[in-house]
Amino acid sequence: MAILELTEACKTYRIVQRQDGISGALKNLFVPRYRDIQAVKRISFAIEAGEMVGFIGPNGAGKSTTIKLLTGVLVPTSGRVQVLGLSPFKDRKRYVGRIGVVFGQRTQLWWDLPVSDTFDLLRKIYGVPPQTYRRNLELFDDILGLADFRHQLARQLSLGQRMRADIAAALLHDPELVFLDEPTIGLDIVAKDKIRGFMQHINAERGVTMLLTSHDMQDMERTCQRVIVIDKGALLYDGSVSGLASLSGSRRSLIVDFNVHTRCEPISGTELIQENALRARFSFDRGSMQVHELVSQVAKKYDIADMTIEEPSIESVVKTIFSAQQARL
Amino acid sequence: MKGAYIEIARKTLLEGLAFRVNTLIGILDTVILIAVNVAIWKAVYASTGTLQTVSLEDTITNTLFAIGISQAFWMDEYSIAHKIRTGAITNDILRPMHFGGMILAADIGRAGYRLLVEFLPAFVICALLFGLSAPASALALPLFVLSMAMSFLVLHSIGLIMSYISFWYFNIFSFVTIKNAAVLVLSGAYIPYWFMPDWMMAFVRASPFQAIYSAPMSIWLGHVNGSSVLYGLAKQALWIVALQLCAQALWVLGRRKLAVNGG
Amino acid sequence: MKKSTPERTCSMNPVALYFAYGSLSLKALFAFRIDAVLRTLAVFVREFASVIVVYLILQRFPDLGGWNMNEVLFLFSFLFLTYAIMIALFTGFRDFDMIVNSGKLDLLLIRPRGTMFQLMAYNSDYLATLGHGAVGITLLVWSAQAVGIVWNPARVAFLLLTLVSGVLIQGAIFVAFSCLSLWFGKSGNVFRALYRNSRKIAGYPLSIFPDAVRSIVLYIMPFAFVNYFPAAWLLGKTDGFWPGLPFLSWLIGPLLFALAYVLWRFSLLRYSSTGH
Repeated sequence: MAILELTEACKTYRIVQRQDGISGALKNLFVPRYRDIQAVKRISFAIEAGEMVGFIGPNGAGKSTTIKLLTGVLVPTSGRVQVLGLSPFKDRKRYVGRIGVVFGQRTQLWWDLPVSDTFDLLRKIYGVPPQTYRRNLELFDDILGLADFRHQLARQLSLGQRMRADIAAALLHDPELVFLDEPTIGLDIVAKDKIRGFMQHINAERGVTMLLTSHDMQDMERTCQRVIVIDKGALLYDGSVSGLASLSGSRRSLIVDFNVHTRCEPISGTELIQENALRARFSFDRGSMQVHELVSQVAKKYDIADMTIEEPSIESVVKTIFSAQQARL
Repeated sequence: MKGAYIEIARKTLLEGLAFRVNTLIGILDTVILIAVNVAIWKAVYASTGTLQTVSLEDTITNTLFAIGISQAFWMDEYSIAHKIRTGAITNDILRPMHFGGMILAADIGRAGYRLLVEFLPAFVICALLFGLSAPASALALPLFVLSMAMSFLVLHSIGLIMSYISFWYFNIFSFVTIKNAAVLVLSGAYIPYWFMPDWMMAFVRASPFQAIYSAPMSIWLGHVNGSSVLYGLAKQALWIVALQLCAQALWVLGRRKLAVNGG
Repeated sequence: MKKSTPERTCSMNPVALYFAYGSLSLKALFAFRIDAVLRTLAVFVREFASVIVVYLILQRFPDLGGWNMNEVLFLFSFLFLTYAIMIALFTGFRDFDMIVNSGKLDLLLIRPRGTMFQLMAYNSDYLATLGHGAVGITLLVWSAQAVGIVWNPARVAFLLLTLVSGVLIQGAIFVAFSCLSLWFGKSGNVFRALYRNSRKIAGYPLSIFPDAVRSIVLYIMPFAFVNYFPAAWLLGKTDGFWPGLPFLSWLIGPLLFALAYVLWRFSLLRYSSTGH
């Protein structure tokens, strides 16, 4: 059964248009002039209980606006939002007690106080029963390693620690549904992995439904079964992660950094697209060429400092999907 | 070289102009502030049977100038303190300019903007509404302007000292706030020096506060003549030198601390 | 503590939750103890400076529009006391522009509590409360004794009701500012300047001002009802105003706040439908 349903949802912002000069400033004050911006255009999708769904798109695609519609911060200009059988905006207080929200860019921790104080306050705000609270703290200590810094001031935490504490804060009251807006933004690979692992654990063990936004493709590949792609406020793709991978094309680049000045010879099945003394870039098709074969071939031939496989960025994926759809029309 | 300082002053002035609604508020603020204080003086003068040594007109003139200009002579201690605290100051130190000179240029730009755009219109409005004593003599006018410019430098130097405290103490709010309160009471703007009690006047005479608004106002109103005018101006200049030396010492010590701790 | 406890019945009542927020605010403030003490002292000195100015002026002159020094200080004390209480409750509305721009308002909207309640509870500038409160209490105790007010139950009740109403009047003004910010962006500055100036005017007997200045604190920012009319009644003065006005202030506070609350609900709805 779908616990979250978005039907033909639209969101139009009205922005006050600045008018110049003193008379303009006065006009702004009394007769402001507006400009409409369509942030979300007729988006529909549904999410079943227990799903873990990725929500991606380039910057300014309307991800955050959609999250705000789903969390009851904003009302849709038209269309319907129904989550957990409630209208997020109309039944706000009743509704938000059952969900958890993480805004990756904004902390909800009390800056000058230990993390544990914020948790304690949240316990009181949500009315979390003592045994639930204790059980959750143990779990977070366990998987997120929160015990190490629970008693430190929030402003002394590293970005990764802060994000872990923020995610824990959003889960203290056992929400049925959790929204995570950019939970891995700005983190290094180790910190990202820790957070991805935790999200998977909560989803698998507790059956918590999750919707997370990101512009990191790997977040999606590692954690979600299903992805929704939006761009310029419109829905572009809704389906499996593997489906998205095939849509996004199979060409990848291998970037090789050498220890000594090297001239590369061509390798069959690849194309040398860029070369200077210490770096070369090969383009290859992931469908016809095994990555590890190519890597071992290169490693045998040359003195190598470092190798990286370049995954397509969200922007290029969106571009590919977009042109594929245009071609179909 | 000189061009760069002028450029800083010009930029601060233009930044001010960019906020025109705030300019209107600034004018309104000054007019209301002066109107309230004039109303107070009129009411207290009306209550007394005996004649005061200084006329109501002179007291109102003091209110118009000193309170009006005090709104314009407002130093921005916090932004320098912020730079010191965050270490952004190293960028400024690296520039081929004298740091104190850069601050002075910015302070002049801000004060210049406020004098021209906020004080002047407010002053004209208030002078038409409440009247004004003429300067004591033709010579008093330029000497008044010179003395007022030195008042600015006194306030600027005190502000500099306040900002440099942040080399040692991370939040200068308390210091700046208490300094501003002292200026409010002692500078001669809200209580003209002729209404200060003797014990207070004795303290003010020996402090830089007299060099703020009391000095220029006594010239305009003709309370000092001849050589005492020069004496007053010289005293102001001495205070500026003393305060600048103090600021410079703090700067040198502070920079050394920055170099040791690595900004 | 057994599992007979049904889910979500442990919700704290708002008053207890308000104090939970408040104790954390204080804890955060006094995390830097010396700094907090110094800053409170600085606010005290800053506010007291304006009192010293009046004190020194009235040492030279017998009275100000028929009010002697102690009476003017008595008038002053109401401003500080009501501001001290008001700012403990409404700091969130003073800093509202920043709260909206930094996205903190969205964080409040995802909590299962009222938005106004959270704004009141989460943000409290206790530094200002302590600084203004100390000036207010010092002045009230000192000046009330100096002017020889006899505190009978009726006068105490009058004072308390007046303070409540004074807090509500200023609270309503702050809430209204926030609503204006939601509607017009940062143009709220104009209104804040008006508030600042009205408070300055309200420090002195209304009778000394020309009509134009009077009307600001009577009709636009009704500060006259925060301190002037109530203080005049306690001192047995009317200054030629209608004698019912002191009692009208009990009405004006709750009324203005109710209006501000309606405007607030309406503006918040607008925020949710237009974004920012």
